[in-house]
Formats: sequence, structure tokens, C-alpha cells
Amino acid sequence: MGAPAEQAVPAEATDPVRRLAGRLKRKYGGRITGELVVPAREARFGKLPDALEPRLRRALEQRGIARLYSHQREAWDHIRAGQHTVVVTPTASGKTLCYNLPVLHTALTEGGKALYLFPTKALSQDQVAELTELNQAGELGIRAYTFDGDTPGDARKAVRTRGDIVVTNPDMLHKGVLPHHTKWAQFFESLRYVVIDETHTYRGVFGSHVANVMRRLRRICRFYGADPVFILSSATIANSAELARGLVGDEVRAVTESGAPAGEKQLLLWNPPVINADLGIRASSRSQSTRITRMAVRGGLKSIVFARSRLMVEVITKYLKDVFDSDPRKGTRVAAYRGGYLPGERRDTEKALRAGNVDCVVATSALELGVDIGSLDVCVLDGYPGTIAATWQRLGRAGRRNRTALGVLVASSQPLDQYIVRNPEFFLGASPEHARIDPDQLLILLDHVRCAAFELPFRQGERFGGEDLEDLLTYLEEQGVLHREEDRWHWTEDSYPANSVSLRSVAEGNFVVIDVTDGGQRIVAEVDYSSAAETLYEGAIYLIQASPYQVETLDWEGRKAWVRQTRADYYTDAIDYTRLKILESFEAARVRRSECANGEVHLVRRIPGFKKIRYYTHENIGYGNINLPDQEMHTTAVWWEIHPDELQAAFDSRQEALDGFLGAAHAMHHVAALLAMSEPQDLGRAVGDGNARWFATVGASGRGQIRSFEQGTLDPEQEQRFRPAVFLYDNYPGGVGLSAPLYEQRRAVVSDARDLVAACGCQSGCPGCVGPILASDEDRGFSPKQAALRVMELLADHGA
Amino acid sequence: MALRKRLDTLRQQAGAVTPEPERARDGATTLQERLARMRVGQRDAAPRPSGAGDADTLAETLGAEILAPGVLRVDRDYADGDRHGDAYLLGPHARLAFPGLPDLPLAAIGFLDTETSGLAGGTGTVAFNIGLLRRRGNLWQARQYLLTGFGGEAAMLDALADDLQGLDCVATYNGGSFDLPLLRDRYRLNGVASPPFPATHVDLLHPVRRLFACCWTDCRLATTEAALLGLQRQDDLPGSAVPAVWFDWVHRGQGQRLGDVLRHNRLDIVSLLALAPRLGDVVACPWAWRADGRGAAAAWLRAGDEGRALECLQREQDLDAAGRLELARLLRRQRRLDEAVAIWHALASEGDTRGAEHLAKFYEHVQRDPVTARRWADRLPAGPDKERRLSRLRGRGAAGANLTLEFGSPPRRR
Repeated sequence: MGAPAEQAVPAEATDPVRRLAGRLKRKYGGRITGELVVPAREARFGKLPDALEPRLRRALEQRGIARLYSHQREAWDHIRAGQHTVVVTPTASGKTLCYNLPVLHTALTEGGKALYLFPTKALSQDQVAELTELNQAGELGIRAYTFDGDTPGDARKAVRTRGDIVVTNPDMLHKGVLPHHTKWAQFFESLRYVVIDETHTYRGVFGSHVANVMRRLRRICRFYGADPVFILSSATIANSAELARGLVGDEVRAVTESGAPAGEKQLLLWNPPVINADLGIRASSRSQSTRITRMAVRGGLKSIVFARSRLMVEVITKYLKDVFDSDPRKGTRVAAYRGGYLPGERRDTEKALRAGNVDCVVATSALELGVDIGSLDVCVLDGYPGTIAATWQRLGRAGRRNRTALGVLVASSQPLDQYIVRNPEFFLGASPEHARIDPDQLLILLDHVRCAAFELPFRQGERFGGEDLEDLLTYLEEQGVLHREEDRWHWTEDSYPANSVSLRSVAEGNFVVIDVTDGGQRIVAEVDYSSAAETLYEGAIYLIQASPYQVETLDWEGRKAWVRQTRADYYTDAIDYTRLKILESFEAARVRRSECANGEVHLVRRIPGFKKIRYYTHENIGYGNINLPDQEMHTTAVWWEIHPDELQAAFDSRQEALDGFLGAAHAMHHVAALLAMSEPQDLGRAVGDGNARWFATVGASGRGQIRSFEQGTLDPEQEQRFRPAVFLYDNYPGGVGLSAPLYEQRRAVVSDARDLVAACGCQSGCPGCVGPILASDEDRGFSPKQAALRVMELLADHGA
Repeated sequence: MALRKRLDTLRQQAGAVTPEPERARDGATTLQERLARMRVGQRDAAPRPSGAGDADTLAETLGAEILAPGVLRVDRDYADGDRHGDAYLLGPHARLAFPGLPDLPLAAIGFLDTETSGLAGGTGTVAFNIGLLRRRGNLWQARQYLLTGFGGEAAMLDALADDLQGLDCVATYNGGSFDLPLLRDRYRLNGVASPPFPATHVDLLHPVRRLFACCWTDCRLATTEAALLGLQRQDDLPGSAVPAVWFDWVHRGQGQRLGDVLRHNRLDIVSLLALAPRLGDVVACPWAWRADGRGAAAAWLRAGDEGRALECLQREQDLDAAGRLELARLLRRQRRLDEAVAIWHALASEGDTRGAEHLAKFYEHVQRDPVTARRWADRLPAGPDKERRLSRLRGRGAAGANLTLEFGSPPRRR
């Protein structure tokens, strides 16, 4: 809750954190590719509002809060003026008070109610615990309850009728509350505030769904004559106000200047040393992270290591325990914290961390969201978390208020990681990513129009989303889902539509993954329809939290895959033949030698087989066949082409150009995922002819080849039309709004990808830049890396 | 219509159906085909010619009057003594004589049942047919409302509120978790915050479950009617088909089967009227109805009548261990100790430690015979209870050692 504390910067000589940073720089200077110092920030305060309910004021004072940070006061003023408000301030700046204050005040003075939405159940429970504490301190008599799948049936009525604050998650609101809104009538009638915490997690498909759930929520509120004020809180992303507006569907005021004090922060970017220059292989990030953490703990500093998988958490924990917990007579100094542990176990670890009884914790992103663990000195990130925003959020775990903190980002050999550490100015200088949502994505919108129609009949002239509502209603009417009577559309199906709409996907037929290892049938994962074909084919190695499972049987119609745990030393990579046809170009930018466009494409994808690739060496150790139906999809894409004359002039052979395109696509794909703040699998990539005449793929020899579905391999030199294009497309039917912003950032995609490849230390290409290279240079007579660079030079050429 | 084509295509690609080749992308007829194909496997996959039915004609066919636009009303009267299955309808003063339920004359009760557009619940489910049977004048009147359009709902709910006036109680079958919450939702959606139901609600499913859950495969109303009222429905519309009948009318104006819905609903409420007093007969002598004596006994106990409860248990043919314990408990309370002890002995000899526990208590506290008490306590399962009891008995056994003549050597702990 962020009680103001006085600033006290320790003198440099006695500051152990600075000492550690100095030692690391002296000893491993070559591995540190970038450095940033965020200066300490003084606290800025505001007065407690005069209007504040006296009991609430006393409760705050009892907890040592006699004044507010400036951003807390600013939020109060906006919210009390009835404005939707988003609070965007760093970890541990006292965000929760920004919404708890007006909510409790209104509950005490007017009996106004509030709905809190958290992305996960665990956070909901933390929040209720915190409210209860404040409530008890002031004997406020406010009732805060969680309402989720775990709420027992007999307690639900009390929650609905007696709760002043109901804490739930978007999925429960969608399935359990809105379709039964009549039971919540009393609650909605007095609903004054809707709080959305961790707003930055509502992006992409999930965010698009949640925006529609908010449309439904506001529609139901209107039915009961309520118009609640939305209070959002978010970690720092580039467009938090825009995201908040998209979610609420209305103007939202942003509070971005934190008044909370913060100690100095030092950040080091760390690249493990190269151990095989030919293959571009570096020492593992794991070994480096362990080494840095060892030094920190020896120096008496409380540390946290973030790893990217549960397996890696266990491995690093073991390495550290071997050093620090070898004496069983002494207390535990190193603890692991990850999903999959029992809640009680996790609470114990949190407590030990807050009390300072543990010196080091190794965690997954489970600790990233607002779980309170007290102050730490050093944060080591084992691998780039995928986004700048998530990186800062994790780094925020170290260094609260008046202490210096050190963060070290240790890169793995993934392209994104390598890009980040080789281009420190990108990470250190850039603002965090944009979080994109597309609430009018047609399928998502249609799903929620159905749900909304179930909740209340639509009236003519009503608005819901950006598409023509009446067209959508007519569509549903033709399907017999709705029936129009005079000016209203009524639900006419014997079904409960929210049950068939998952907020986490676009497609309807998710696949379930069933583990049969122990002779049982245990569901271990769910896979989106869109990515099932490339991940769940028979023979595939499917990774769950880094443990390998092999797919034994796939029932495509029944949407099931049966898997068994395995110890394979290889992973599998689907051979993906994707043929794209440009249907319509919305906008295009021509430069002297190339062109970039954004538009709608039709895509046919065939997965004819897969490769087995050995870990670490990336050697191809075998093939398998896959027999699955072709996938078709309309979606949106960005594509880049080079004018044929320029292409011919720049390359000795078409083969060379082709290899260049494939390498460029690999690098551009990863950079684009970074810029779009999306997972690489949300974004598809393809190289091919825009007329769907042929598509390009990396053949068994490691060289590019062009093929068509009908004729198999073609000879590029014999083709009449040779106009390869790099396509990056939204990997969901209808698109989820990634391509339009990528088109806006088209220059950055190309130039950042070019920088990534150019700065790579490998000789002629590696998995960290243009993708795995098999054929040697002599074989080709040219360097694929150089070819990719030349393609990107042409694409980047802005002309005169 | 561009939007429709876009949607069809996208939904298909998102896994709504098996993707299909590119050919059928244009033309109105192919769109129809594809819509039909998309619905394969769903409830009514047939092409849906839409059309509106004529409510006047429907009303005439059903012998109904048009109450307001969108809602029909059908009244049917029954006289005291009318036959229902092999039961006869009783008069207004007959009582709902079930222990634990309010003791009311049938005339004070409204018997209610609804037919709905779905079983999923939630605000998208409509009660399109409501039946209420109650006393009016010298007759029992079954009054049914049928929606012919969504617009009639408000008028129907208003009329139902009037019909409920003057009643002390409403009786349903599973209405506690289905019909009444649903109607509350409908009232709420129509702007009525407090629905007009009488203060008391009796859900007849609960006593039926208490008496028969152990003996029948299910406790559906049809099962209950057959067993307790000797009613075999002929050509009855299955409950699962009800929503489709309503949608046939709404979408296509086909109302042929709505008469079947009304008949089904009417049989339901008449059965409730016949069932209410019949359940009193059953609970009074469960042995005559093959009902669960324990369930009946529990009902009597709840109402404070130990004598009736005892009788139900004693006349039960195959009482399980829990039932026999309960019987012994009641006998003991009636000071019929010999009979209780006999039951405990029998249980203990079958290896039921609860029998031994009662005997240990009985010999310790009632007979004041610590030695025999100890013998029984020895048979208890290991645990703190046993230890406490034994150590207490050992103390007393020592004090009254002269009493141990009865048996040779005192029992030993192994």
C-alpha cells in the first residue's frame, strides 16, 4: 500500500550493491553490452483529501499513512470527478490505494459498490486479504468477497447481495455473472466503480475479448440505471491510456507521474561468451545467471532470479542450493517459486521473503504480477522475458524506495535475446511496447453479440462495437439464434452461449492434450485450433513447461491429442508450406527499389511433415510425415517486395535472392514480434509469390527452394514471374489487429532486423539471426547472411 | 451481403466446421447450402423456412382466449373426485399432511409448473408456458398461459401475479432450483423487483427424494406419478423436446405441437394436486408403499413425533446398520432398553464397532458395570477415545474389584 518513506542514499563506498556492480564490470567487462543507471527519485506528496470519510482517514493514519503520494491524490481527484482513470506507475508505487481509497470512501458514505477484476485468482485473494487488513484497522465494516469458480454454492447468494466489493476475474464475469445478471440486480443497481488491475495483461486476443466483456458489463449496468466509473491500473507500456480507452470504450484519464520514491537502479545487459564461433554458439545463460547470483548472495545481497520455464527454475535452484544450502543444519537460503506449487507452499515462501529469512528466490513469471514479497537488492533475468514492459516489471522486483538496486539481463541464444543485448540502445532507449487489442475482430465481436443478446434482448438502434450491429443481428437471426419481434431481437436457442466462448481464443474448436503416461487420461493442456496442426501432429514433441511429451495419436475431428512423456534429446519442427494470395491491398508505400503494403490475404497452409532437431547443436536428425487437411484462412498481413529489375541487378542468381529472402524473413519475423508486443506464434511468416503461384521454404539441404502444391519443387530460374515477398500475417482468422501497426512500423521492422543480422557475430548465419544454416558457404558460393542483408538493404531503401 | 460472407468464411476457418474447398464462395444458393452444412449435428439442422404463425388460429385450435397481444390463456376445470391415474382428486379441505411441511388445506395452495425455452438457465431462458392450478369456487381450475410472442411476457407475468393473490403457498416439483428462480429472473427483467409469490414454497421433489431416492432409479415426476398415482401418460411429449416445439412456432409459425406442450404441463400440475395429500399417506405408512422407512422416520423426527418415527423404523424390512442404530437410539429414549441392547449386540456380533461403543457406554453409565463395559471398550478401534474410556474404566474396575466375580479373569489388553 506504499507508506511514504524518507530517502536515504547510502554512501558509495559502503553500498554493497554498487560494489557488486563495480566488480562485475571490472571482471566481465566484455560480456556487458550495455548499461543504464536510473537515478533515485524523491517522493512527492499530496494531502489526504478533506472530504475523506473520517473512519477511513483514521484507518489510514493507523497504518502510518498521513498523506498521499502525488499520483494517488491525482487519481482521487479524477475519479471523484467521475472520470474513468488509468494509473500507470511502477511496481510498488502504491497503486492499489489509488482505487481502494475512492471505493472505500463511496462504500462508507453512500453504500456504493465496486467490482474488482484481476487476471488471476491468486491475485484476487491477495487483494481481498489487503482490503480486509485495512478494513480491520479502521473497523470499517466493509465486506469484500471473492467470487470465482471456488466460491461455494451456498456462499454465492451472500456475495451477490451483501458484498460491498466483489473481487473476480474476467472469465467469471463473462460466464458466471453477466448471464445471470438478474440475480445480481441489487449489486448492479448500486455499482459505482469497476476496477481493472494489471490492465497491461489484457492484450491481443484475450484483451479483445475482455473489451467486449466490458461492453456487455456496461450494457447491463445501463439496464439497472448504473454508470460506474472505471479505475484501471497498469504497468508501464507505451499506450496504456489507449489500451484503457479500448477496454472501457470511453475516454480515460491517465495518471503517469509517480510520486513514490525509488532508489537508484543500475541495469546491466549481459551476453554469455561465444564458445563456438563457427556455429555461433554461446555459453548457456543459465551458467551465467547462476554465477552472477552466487556473487550477489556471497556479497550479502537479497536476490531474485527470473527464469523462463519451470524446469529452468528447478535447475538454477539446484545449482544455487548446491552452493548455499549444502549444510543441512543451517536454515534454507535459496527458495524456488513457480506455478504448480501448492498455494500454501507459495504463501510460506512469500512470507519468508518478506521477513528476509531467505537470501535468494528463483521464480517464473508467477511472481511477476503484484504478489508482495518485500524488498530485494538484485534481480537477475535468465533470458529476455519477451517484452520490454515485462522486463521492467520483473526488474521492479529489486530496489524499493530508498535502496540502490541492480538488475542484470542475461541473454540466451534466442534471436530476440541476442537482438536485445546487441542493440542495447533499443532496449535502454525505447519506450516499452504497445499493447494492441482489436475489440471489433469480427469473430470475437460476433461471439459477444451472441452473449449479450442472451443477457438482454437487443433493441433497434442500440450500439455494440464498431461493426453494423443490425447486420450482425440479422446474421444471427438467419441462423435461428435470434428472433426479431418488432424492434427487438430475442435469444432463441436452448443453450448458454458464454460456455462456448473462451476469452483466451478466437477459434471455436480448441484441442485438448491428454497425457497417458501413467496409464490414465489426464488433460494437460489446451491448444488453439489455429496452432494445432503445427504442434500436435503424430510424432511431434510437445513441450509443457519445458518437459517434452510425444504425440502418439491425433484425433482431428474429435479435437484431441494423446501424448506420453518422453526423454527425447530432440525437438520437432513442422515443415510448413504456406501459400498466400493477396486479395486486397489497403495501403502501400512505394520506395525507389521496393514496396511495402498492408492488406487482406488468403492463405492455404499444408503441413506435410516435420524435422527432428537435436537440442543445442540444432542438427537435423530425421524426418516424419504428417497427414492433415489443408488449413485455409483469411487474414491481414504486411508484405515487402523488391522490384524485379532491382532484384535481378542485385543478385547473381535467383537462388541467392531466395536464400536472402528466407533469411530476412526469419530476422524480420522476430523483430516484428518484438515491436508488436506479441508472441512469435501470433504472427505468421511466409516467403512466396503474392499470386500464390509458388512459395518458398528451406529444403533438406538447408537451401531455399520454391514449390507449388500441385507440382512440388520448381526451378526458380525457369519461373516466368519471380517476385518473392516477405509476408508477416496475423495468425488468426480475420486477424487480431497486428498487421496495421506493423505496417506503420515497417521501416523499424526492416532496419532493426538488418541491424540484428549485421551485428551478429556468426560468420555466414546462425539461429540467432537468419535461421539455422546447414549448407556451407563453398557449397552455395555465397553467404546467406550477406544475401539476407542485401535483401534488407533493398527493402530499407527509402529512395531519394 | 458482404458481412455475412465474411462471417461464414471466418467461422469456418476458425474450426466451426471442417474447412471446405474454395469453390462455394459465391451465389445465394451456395450460401444457403453452406449455412445448412455449418449446422450439421445441431438440434434442428433442417433448412429453416421462416414464417409467422397466426395467433388467432392457434388460439382457436387450442381452445384458448387471447389475453393480450402475444399471450394466450386456457382454463380447464376439475371437480372433487375426478380421477387422475388411479387416484381421485380430493376436496379443498384435504390437507398437505406431511411432517415438517406447513399443514395447509389444499385450497390454500397453488400448484405451479413452467415449460421453458431451455434448461441451461440464465437470462436468455424464457418460460413460455406457465400452468397454475388452484381452487376457484367449487372447482379446481388449471389455468395455463402460453406465449405466442416475446411481447406477451409482461402481460402474462402480471396476470400470474393476480392469480397468485390469496394463496398462502405455492407448490412445485423441483421449483426451488428451477421454476421459481427462473420466474424471479423474468419478473426482474420486466422491472419487477419483488416477485408476487406467496411467502411459503413447498417443493414436492424434496419429500419424494426423502422417501424414494434409495429405491428408485430417479425421482422425476413421471416416475413418481406412475408409482404413487398409477398414472401412465400416453403419447406424452418428452420434456427435452419442449424447447424445440416453442422454437418451431417462433421461427416458422408451426404450432401443431403446442397443444402437446399444454397437455404435458396440465398433467404436471394436476399430478401435483393429487400428489400433495398422497405423500401424507406414504409417510404415515411407508411400509405399504415400499418407501424408505428411514426417510419417513427422519421426517417424523424433524416434526418431533418419535413414536411415528419408531414405528416406521420397526416396520422397515431391510434396515441397514445406520437405520438399526437409529432405531436403538429411539428405543433407548423410550426406555425400551432391552430391545436397544439386543440391537447393539447384534451389530457388535456382526463386527460393527458402533454397536460395541454403545454397549460400552450402556454398561458404564447405565448398568454401572465397569468390567463388562471394559470388555466392550476393548473392541473399539484404536484411538484417543478408546484410550480415555479404557483408562477411566481401569480406575473404576480397581475400585470395585469385588464385582469381578461374574467372569473368570478380567479381559486383557493385547
